[in-house]
Amino acid sequence: MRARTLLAVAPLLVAPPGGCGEAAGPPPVPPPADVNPAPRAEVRTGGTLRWPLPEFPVQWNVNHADGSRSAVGTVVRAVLPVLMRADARAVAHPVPEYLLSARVTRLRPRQVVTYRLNPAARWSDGRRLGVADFAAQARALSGADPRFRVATVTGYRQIARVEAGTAPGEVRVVFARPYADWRGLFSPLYPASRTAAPDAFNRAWTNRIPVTAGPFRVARIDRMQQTVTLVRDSAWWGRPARLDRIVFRALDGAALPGAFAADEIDLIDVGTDAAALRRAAAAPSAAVRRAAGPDWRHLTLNAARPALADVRVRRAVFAALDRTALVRADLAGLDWPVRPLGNHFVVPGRPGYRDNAPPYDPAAARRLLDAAGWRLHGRHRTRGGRTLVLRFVLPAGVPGAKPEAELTRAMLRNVGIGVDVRIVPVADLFDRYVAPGAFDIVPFTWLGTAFPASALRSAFARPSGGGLLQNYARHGTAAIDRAMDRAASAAGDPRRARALLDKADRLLWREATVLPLYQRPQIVVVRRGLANLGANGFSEPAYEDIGFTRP
Amino acid sequence: MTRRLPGNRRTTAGAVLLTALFLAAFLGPLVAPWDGERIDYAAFRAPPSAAHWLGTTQSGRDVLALTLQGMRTSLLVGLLVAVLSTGFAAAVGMTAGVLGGWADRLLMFGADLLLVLPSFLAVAALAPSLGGGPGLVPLIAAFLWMITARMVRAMTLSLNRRDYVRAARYLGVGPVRVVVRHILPHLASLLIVDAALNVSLAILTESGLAYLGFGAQPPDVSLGTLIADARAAAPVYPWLFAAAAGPLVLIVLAVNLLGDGLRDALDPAIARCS
Repeated sequence: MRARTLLAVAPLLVAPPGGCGEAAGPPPVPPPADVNPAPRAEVRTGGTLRWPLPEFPVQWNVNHADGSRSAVGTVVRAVLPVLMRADARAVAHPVPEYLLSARVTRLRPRQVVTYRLNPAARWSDGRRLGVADFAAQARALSGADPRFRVATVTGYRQIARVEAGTAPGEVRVVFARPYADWRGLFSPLYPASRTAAPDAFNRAWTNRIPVTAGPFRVARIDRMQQTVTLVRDSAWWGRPARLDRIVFRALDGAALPGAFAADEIDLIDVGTDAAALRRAAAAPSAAVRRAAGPDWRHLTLNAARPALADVRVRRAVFAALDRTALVRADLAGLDWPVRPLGNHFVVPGRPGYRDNAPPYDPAAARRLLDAAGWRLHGRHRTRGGRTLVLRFVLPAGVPGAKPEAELTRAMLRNVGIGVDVRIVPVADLFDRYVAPGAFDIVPFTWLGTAFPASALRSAFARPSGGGLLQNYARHGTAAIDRAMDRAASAAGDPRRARALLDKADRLLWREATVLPLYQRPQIVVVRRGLANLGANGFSEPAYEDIGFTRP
Repeated sequence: MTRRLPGNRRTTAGAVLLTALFLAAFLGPLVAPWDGERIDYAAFRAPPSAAHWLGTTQSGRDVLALTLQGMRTSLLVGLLVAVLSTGFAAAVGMTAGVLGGWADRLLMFGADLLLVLPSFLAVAALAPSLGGGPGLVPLIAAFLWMITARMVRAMTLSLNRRDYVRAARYLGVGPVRVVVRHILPHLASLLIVDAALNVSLAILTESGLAYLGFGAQPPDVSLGTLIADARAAAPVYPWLFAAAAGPLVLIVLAVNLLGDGLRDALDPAIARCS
């Protein structure tokens, strides 16, 4: 009887958003993670989880330039060692199956991190995890050898050497410069046997995952069906995986709500698409998980373009945009609190978050434009015979991008700035517009991590020597770089690191290159009963604990 | 005369419907409470209400106003393409038929060349460089004239051999005058019907291109872009989809009724059969 009552109540808890909840006042602030946590005893052994991927990767080495994609990370974290796993509060802890401990054992003269490996940890080819694997990964990702086609060198660049410790199974990583975000390194760890040589690093992981060491192993990578099937690995030395099988399947975003409703997949990340949310949530046995995730939406202004090279014009654009209205439009129908994001590094709910945004002030925008020499003639502003018109480039079919463009256009017209909206195919957005700089304003999402200072460095660092990294605004200052670098190297003093990051953020607002809009909601519709997976927020799932609770 | 009534009735129905749609598209904005450019910051993706009769989009734009704007784009594109392509077809077909010889071969070779091109793909490839909406008119027209031109040429050839045309020639009337005085009047019915049918073809082509992202660029809208925007949300927010798809169906229906009716009314051979 009790079970039935519970079941009858459950749909009320997951009532579809919008519509019925409008009179209830502002929706509550979502938690940092919502994964339906359940102790292992309550999770049934067996079952198949059908998990959609946004695309079907070819390169399964996530550290390779072609493999640095969310789909690759999602899959390989089930089969490769994840040494440190972040919890909901974005604190990374050693995973006991791989590490007995990991800590900074020395700060001076050089930072040393000592890892004590679990002696039971073995690769599927029989070798033990060891110093060779650490050394190979550190060397490949150091950027010293260009034959390794790496996606990023952040963190690994700072490593001076990797050596065996005094006790067996001990690995000492010595940093040339202090590096505060060392917990983000070596997760996942790739085996030296298949990554030590540049050729293996680049080619051994195309269309296959040759060696594993995790709760699951790869049963089949089917390129025709675009599926990856993982099965429970009996050689796993930890607590056995609850699920029999995980089937990953590449599906187009537009097909996801239908596939979920047709019971072909068990979870769907609806992002900010209210229509997808309502369709998926209406399916029988659906449950909605919501978390305030690490990702954030923003507008990047291209400071290399003639009009926007003037910081006053960029500040005018910032002041003329009513971010609250933009956020309200983007999040309409999601039943999500409207909170414009006021920081470039830290999202609300994380320690160190401070709203440093200037206020919405169209009058100030007009004054700034006047001061910059752009005079109002009729409805447009001109200077030296040129009209102030900005090109807003947006990808076709991405929910939210079009309202952002249309509202930006209306708001900027209000202060005399014309906006020319260009819709381009999604696949072309970065390759043909953002990276070459053929835009004035572009909206997209930065994927957040638990380590903002190091992860976002490439987005804000001053472009040097033709290398943009990911600074698509094409502008930075030495002061911002210094603050970011000092924050990243403030190992062992989180308060100081936060203060430095806050300083970098305030400097960024002054340069007015990247306008944060909102912390992107993480809304995941799952099959009811799915436990220990959902809206993960900052946390990373322990794949062996994922499963379905007993009905 | 009585036998032609079915055709006439369809003509009337089509003409009335089309006139009503035209009036709605061009005079509707005078009555509608919002215009398509204005943004209602208090209503993002609101369902139909007294303030917004067909609701609003996610950007707070009034769906009714957008639909009327889209209808204007689509109707204009349809009419312009029809006039252009049929006019061009008539000119090419008659020139080829009257002049004959190398001019005939050259023009028909051009027509055949365009016929074998996959026209939709070609238009889609060229569309981005022309901008959307009205910019597409010459492009769509360029791929609609070939078959009509061949028909016009064939009819011109047969008309050219008629006695009164020959007589006019022998009396020293120039080719231009022969065409205008003696050939064109006989082609009128064919051209009118062809133009009417081209209207709906053009509207559908433009909508298809807009749906794929090659049509009108914001803030301009056409029915195709509205349908594309509403498609993903159609099961959940049906009013967005219906507001765009409904008028498209009605316009194409009206134009086809008109075209069919005119063909029946003007072509005695078909009228007898029906």
